[in-house]
Amino acid sequence: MLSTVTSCGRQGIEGYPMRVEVDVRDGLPMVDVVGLPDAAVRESRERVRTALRNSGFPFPVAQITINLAPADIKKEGPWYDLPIALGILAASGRIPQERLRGALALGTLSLDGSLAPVTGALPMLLAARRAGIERALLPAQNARECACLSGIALYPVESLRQAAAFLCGEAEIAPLTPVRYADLAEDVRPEVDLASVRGQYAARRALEIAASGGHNLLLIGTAGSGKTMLARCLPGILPRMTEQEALETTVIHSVSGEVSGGLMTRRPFSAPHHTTSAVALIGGGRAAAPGEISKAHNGVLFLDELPEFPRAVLEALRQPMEDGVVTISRVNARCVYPARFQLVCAMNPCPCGNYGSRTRTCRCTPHEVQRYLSRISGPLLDRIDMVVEMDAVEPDEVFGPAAAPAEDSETVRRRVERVRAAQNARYAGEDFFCNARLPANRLEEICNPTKDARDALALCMRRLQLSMRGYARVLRIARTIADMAGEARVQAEHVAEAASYRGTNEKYWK
Amino acid sequence: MTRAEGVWIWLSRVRGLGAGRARQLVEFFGGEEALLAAQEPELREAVGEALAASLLEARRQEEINDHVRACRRAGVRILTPASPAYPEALRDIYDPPCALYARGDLGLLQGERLLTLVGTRRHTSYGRRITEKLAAELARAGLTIVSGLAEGLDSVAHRAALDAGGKTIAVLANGLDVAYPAAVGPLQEEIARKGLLVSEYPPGTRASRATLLPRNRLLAALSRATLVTEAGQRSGTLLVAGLAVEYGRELMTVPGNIDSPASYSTNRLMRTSAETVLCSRDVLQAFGMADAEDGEDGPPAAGRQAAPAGQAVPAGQAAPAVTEEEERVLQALRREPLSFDELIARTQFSAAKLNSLLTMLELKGIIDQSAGRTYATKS
Repeated sequence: MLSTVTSCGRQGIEGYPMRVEVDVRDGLPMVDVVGLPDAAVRESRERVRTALRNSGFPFPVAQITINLAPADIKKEGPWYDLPIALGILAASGRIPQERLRGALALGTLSLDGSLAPVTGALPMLLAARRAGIERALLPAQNARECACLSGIALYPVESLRQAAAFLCGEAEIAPLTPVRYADLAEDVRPEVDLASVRGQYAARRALEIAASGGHNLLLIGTAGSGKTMLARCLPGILPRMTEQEALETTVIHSVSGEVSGGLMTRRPFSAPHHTTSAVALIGGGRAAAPGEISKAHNGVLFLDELPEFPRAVLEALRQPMEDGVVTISRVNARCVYPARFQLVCAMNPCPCGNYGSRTRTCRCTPHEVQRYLSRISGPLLDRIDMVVEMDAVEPDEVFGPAAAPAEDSETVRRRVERVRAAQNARYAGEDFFCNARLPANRLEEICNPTKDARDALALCMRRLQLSMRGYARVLRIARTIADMAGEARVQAEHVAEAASYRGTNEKYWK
Repeated sequence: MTRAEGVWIWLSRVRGLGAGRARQLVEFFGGEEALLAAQEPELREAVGEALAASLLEARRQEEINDHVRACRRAGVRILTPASPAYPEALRDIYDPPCALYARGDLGLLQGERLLTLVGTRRHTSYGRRITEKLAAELARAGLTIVSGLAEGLDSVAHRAALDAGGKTIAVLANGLDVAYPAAVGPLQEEIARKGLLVSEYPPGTRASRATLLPRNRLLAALSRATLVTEAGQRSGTLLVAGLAVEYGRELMTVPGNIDSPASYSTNRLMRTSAETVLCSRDVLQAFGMADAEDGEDGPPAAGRQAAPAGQAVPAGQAAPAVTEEEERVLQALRREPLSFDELIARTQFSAAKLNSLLTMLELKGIIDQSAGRTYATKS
C-alpha cells in the first residue's frame, strides 16, 4: 500500500515543501530510501525502526520503499524521521490516509519514540505556510520559536505515539496560539544599559549618532576604557525590530540551532573572537551554514581587538558589507544569507594598550604603534564612517560622587527612533534607507549644506587634508547630526562636529 | 687627505678596534706617523695577535683611498682627530671617534653655541609643544640645535629649528645615506641642505643597538649643554643626560607634572643633577647670551604670550577670531590640558556642542589634541 506524507526540506534559510512517499508491500523484508538522501537521512531507517517498536507498533515485515520527492534535490538533515514513521504507519494501515492530507510533519526521532527538536524549523514552516499547508506537526521543543506564526495550525508533538494517536483521532493536541509580535516586543530590555556607562560623553554621543544614521564605528581607547561595554549598548539604543526584521533574524538563528526562546525581539549582538576563521565569520563550511555576520543581521557585529584579526578575514567582510547579503556556493548548494549589520570595531591605540594614557606608561616605540595601527586593512577602514577615541576613565571618576546618573538606553532609543523615522520618510522609494548609505553623488543634494557649512567644509578639507572619501564621510555624519537637531539643511556646527569623528588624522593614520 | 688623516681612517676601519683603543694606540706609538711605520712584531706586542692581524689587514692604502673618494663623491666629508675641522669638543672625551662622516655645513661644528636638545620618542602634546617652542626660540637666538633625529621630540626639535630659520646638527647612529626610521628621511635631507649631518659610521651602515649606544656620547660631548624636554622612566635620552654630566657639560631639564609618566625622568634629573629650564632665557643665560637681570618671562597663564619682539608671529597672520563660546573652552584649556570629559564638566557644554567647538578651535590652529583625546592650547 502506498502513502504520502508532506514534509519540508531546506537549503540554508530557504525551506521548500516536499513529499515523503512510502510503499509497503509483500516481498523480501528490506527498507530502501531513495531521493538523494544524505547520511543523516539514510540512518533514519534505523531510528524509525527502533522508535516504532519502542512505541508499541510492529515494524512491517515487508518490502518498504521510501522516496523523498522531488528526487533531484539533495536532502539533508534528520528531520524526516517523523514523516517516514507516519508514512510507514499509514501505508500499513494504522493511520487513516485522509487524516494526513494537508498536514505537514517534521521531527527527529529518538530510539524511545520521543521527538527531538530540529534546526531551522522556522524557515521550513514559513515555506509550508507559503505553500498553503494548513496544519503542521512539529517537535514540542520547537514550539516556542515558531509560536509567532499565524495562518497555520501548529501542533506540538512530544512523541511518535502521541502523533499517531492524534492522527487516528484518538487524542487531541492543543494547537499553539499565535503570539502577537507587539506583545513580545513590549518588554524588551537591553542587555547592557547605557545608564551603567560612566563618563565617556564623547563616546556616548558618537554612539547615538552611529545609531541614528546607521554609521559604522571604530572605538579606539586604552585598555579598560570601556570600549566593549559601550559597543554592547548599541543594540539597546537602535530602533526596535519590526516583525519582519525579527522574523528574518530568528530564521538565521533557527538554522544555526541557536534559538532558545521564541522570536528574537532583541537586536542580535555578535562578537566573534579574533581567532575566528573567515568561514566562521562569513558563513560556509560543508553545510553552507550562516556565519557570524548573518547572525548579526539587523543587529551589531562587534570586532574587538581589530588589528588582531587576520587581514584576509577582514577583507572577506567587504562584499557582504556592500551588498547586505552574503552568497555561499558549495558543490551542491548555493545559499544566500542576509547580512545587514552595523559594524562596531574596537582597538587599543598600541600593542601594550597604554598609548595616550595620562597615568600609565606606554612601552611601545612609535614604530610599533605605527605598525599596529597600519595593520588594519585600508578598504575596511574606508567603510567605517566614525572613529572615536575614548577617554581613559580613572577609578575615582567611576566611583566618585561626581559621577552623575547617566541617561538610560530607553531615552536614547526614543530619540534614535525619531531620527530613523525621519530618514525612512525621506528615503522612501530610494534603494538606501539610512544616512550611512547615502551614495556620494546624492550627498550635495540631500545634505544641502548652508553657505557657512560649505566654508567649514572647505576649511576642513584644507586643514585636515581630507580626501574626497573623507569629505563624503564627514558630510554623511553631518547629515545625521542635522537630522538629530531636526534641521533640514546641514549647518556649519554639524560639519564641525562631524569632522571630529574623522579618524584619519595625523595622530593615527598618517 | 694627509697621511695622519689616513691613519685615523685606517683605524676606524679596523674590525674589533674601539675608538678608545685607537686613541691609546696612537698615543702609545707617539703619533700617527710612527704607528703607520710600525712593523708587525711591534704591533703584535702592543695589541696582541688577533688585533694586530686585523690592523695589518685593514692597512691597505688603495682601499682607504677608494673609500675616501667614494665618500667625497657622495658629498660626505671625513673628519679625523688629525683634521683641523674636527670639533674641539670631541677631543676631550676618552673615546673620540676616529672618523666623523659629515654632510652639510661643517662650520657649525666650530661654534661654541651648540645645544643638545633631546627628548623621548613617546612624547605627550606638552612635550611636543615645549620642545617646539624652546627649539624655535633658541635657534632664533643663535644657538645651533644638536639632536639625534630619532622619531618623537628629536625630530620635533630639528624641525622647529629649521622652521625658525636656525641651524641644526643631526647626529646619526647609521650611515649618512640611511634613514632610520624611514619616516625621518625627508627631514634628514633637509638638514643635509640647511644644517649638518654627522655620524661615526661609514655610509651604508644600518642603525643597531651597537651603533645607537655609542652615538649618545657624541650627542652629549658635542655641545656645552644638554637640554632634555621630556623623558619617561626608561627613555634612551637618559643615557645622553648621564654622559653629559660625566663629560662635565651642563645638563638642563624642563619640569613636567609629577604624575605624568612622560616627565618621570626629567623631574628626577632636576632633583639630582640638572638645572631647571622654564623658558628659553634660562638656557641662553647658561651660554652667557642673556642677562640674569632681564627678569622672568611672563607667567604662561597670561595667555598666548608674545614671543621676543617681532619674531614669533609671522607678519600678515593675525590671530584668528574666536567666538564667545570658543573662548569659554579656551579659558578652561589655558590652565591645563584637559580630556573631553573634564572639559564637559568645566564648561557645561553638551557633548555635541563641545565636539563642534573643539573642531573649530583645532581648525583655527589654536588647540591641538593628542592620543587619548587630551586637548591643549598651542604655544
